[in-house]
Amino acid sequence: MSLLRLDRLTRRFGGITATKDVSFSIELGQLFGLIGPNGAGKTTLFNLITGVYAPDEGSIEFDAKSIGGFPPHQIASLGISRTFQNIRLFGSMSVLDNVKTACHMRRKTSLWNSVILSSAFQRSEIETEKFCRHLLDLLQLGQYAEENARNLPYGHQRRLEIARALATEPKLLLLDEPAAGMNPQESQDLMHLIRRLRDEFHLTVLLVEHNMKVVMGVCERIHVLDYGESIAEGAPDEVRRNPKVIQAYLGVE
Amino acid sequence: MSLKRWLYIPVILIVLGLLQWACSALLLDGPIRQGPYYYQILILAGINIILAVSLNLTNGVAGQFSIGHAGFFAVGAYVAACISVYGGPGIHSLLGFMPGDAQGAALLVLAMIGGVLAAALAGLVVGIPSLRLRGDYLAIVTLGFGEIIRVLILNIEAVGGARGFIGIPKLSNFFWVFGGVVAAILIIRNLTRSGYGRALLSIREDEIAAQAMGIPVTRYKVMAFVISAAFAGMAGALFGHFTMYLHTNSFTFVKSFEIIIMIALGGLGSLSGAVLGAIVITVLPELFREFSEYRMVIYSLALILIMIFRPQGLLGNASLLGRKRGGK
Ligand SMILES: Nc1ncnc2c1ncn2[C@@H]1O[C@H](COP(=O)(O)OP(=O)(O)O)[C@@H](O)[C@H]1O
Ligand SMILES: [Mg+2]
Repeated sequence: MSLLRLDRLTRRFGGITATKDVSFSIELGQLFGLIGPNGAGKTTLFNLITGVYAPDEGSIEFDAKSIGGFPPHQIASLGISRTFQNIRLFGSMSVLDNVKTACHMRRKTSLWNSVILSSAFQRSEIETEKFCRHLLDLLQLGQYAEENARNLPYGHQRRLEIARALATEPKLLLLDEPAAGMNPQESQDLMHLIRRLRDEFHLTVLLVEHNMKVVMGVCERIHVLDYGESIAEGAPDEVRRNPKVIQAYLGVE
Repeated sequence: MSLKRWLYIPVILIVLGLLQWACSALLLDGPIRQGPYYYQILILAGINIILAVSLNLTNGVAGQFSIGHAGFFAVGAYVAACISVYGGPGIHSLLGFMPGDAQGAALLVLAMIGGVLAAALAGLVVGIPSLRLRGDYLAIVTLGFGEIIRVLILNIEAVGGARGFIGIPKLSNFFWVFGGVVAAILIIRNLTRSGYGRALLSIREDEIAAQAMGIPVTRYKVMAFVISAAFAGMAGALFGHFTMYLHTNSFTFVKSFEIIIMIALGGLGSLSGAVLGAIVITVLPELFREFSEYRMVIYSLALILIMIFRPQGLLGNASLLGRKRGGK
């Protein structure tokens, strides 16, 4: 069963067509890669799937439901979460509060309960805290829980982005260049982490990544974009050998 | 469920009652020569605390820049005053079986409820269209709203028009004002520390990311804005029933600006900072009466200096009310 299905998705910005007739579908539980040179339209596709932009043409189906043009918060509540290529943490909030914030919509009690500090509210705060600390430990951020997010080193911020995305309890996790700025050891760990998260949280993952080692190592299927258009799709080995893909990458470099 | 958790409420009420008694005994008809003057400053400080703490929820915590808080203050003040002036006789005769003080208290509570609801409704009407748009629309719309309300009131004869609204019964006092202060601080503090508060902070930090985490950004902004407006309305109700007279001059843009200075002084987003800022801005002008003509100039300079040298406010990240919360 496919969890996400994009059908001829097109989005223009003025004269630029950022994505053109992009179609692919991701199976439940799959680790799916999306690659392409800079400016190929990968982030735009993320923005379309998460509702930051509405598609000009085409449709997005998630969990057998058409979500094209839905507002971002509603898409998040349906179970799609993401990280940002240009890190967008809540900088002056603590690491723990960043994660807690992402739990809010699933775990909140009523405003009234929160104001009177009812026992239901206190129970939910304790539960939330436990869950969030577990996520932080999983991403090896436990010891930074009380730090301001903006004071974390770069690689840690990337992991916090993932922890925060997980806190929304998604079915589909979109990772936008999570290994960017990581050293080889960190990217190696990231590969294991992505697999582990998929298994532990029963996730489906859509991964955008420039680090070919990571993409080829993690993904079961890969879709390739160039100048907003699909040029190839297949298993890592097929994609690697595909002349069109080689040309797209060589053409840029 | 233990009732112990609620024990602090009667304790607070008793403390407020005792302080009220102390105020009457010492300041109002006591040995202190300028007592009534000090009492008045005390009350105004309380009202300013409610205004600052409530505006801080919108401007500091949620990061939405409203500059028309005096407008909601006015709505609350005038609606509440209308209730006690025009509805007062009816309510008194209805409550004839009660002792006089209890009738007054009941009337004040009704007036406050009316003022709060009216201000909240005004907040909803102003907030929904302007908070849906990104950017600085809120500042522009709230500025306009404050002025429109003022001009509107100025032209309503039933509330005195340009002469001012007279004959408002003196129903509020230290007890009610500081009861309101405690309620405002506790409610806003609890709210800010809950998941709702974290959600509001996250909107201030990064709206796109907040949305991606499932937070319905517009709804939450409106919620914060309406709560702010409601407390401003409460402050207005308490104000009118203390001064017994309302004039639109108390609700100009200068007043809105003053409240912004209070929260900037204390550090945007900091609750204890807002309280401190309100006290400073109430007391300082009294100490420097001869400069009162230059008030706006001094405020503007102060604001610029704060922005340059201490953008985190006087207190910075320190907090007098427990765990620090989003000050910076
Ligand atoms: N908000 C926007 N406004 C204008 N152009 C945009 C916007 N977002 C993306 N683009 C353009 O769309 C193209 C694809 O960009 P992007 O999706 O960020 O590529 P990638 O993530 O694959 O590097 C680029 O040419 C980029 O300049
Ligand atoms: Mg990108």
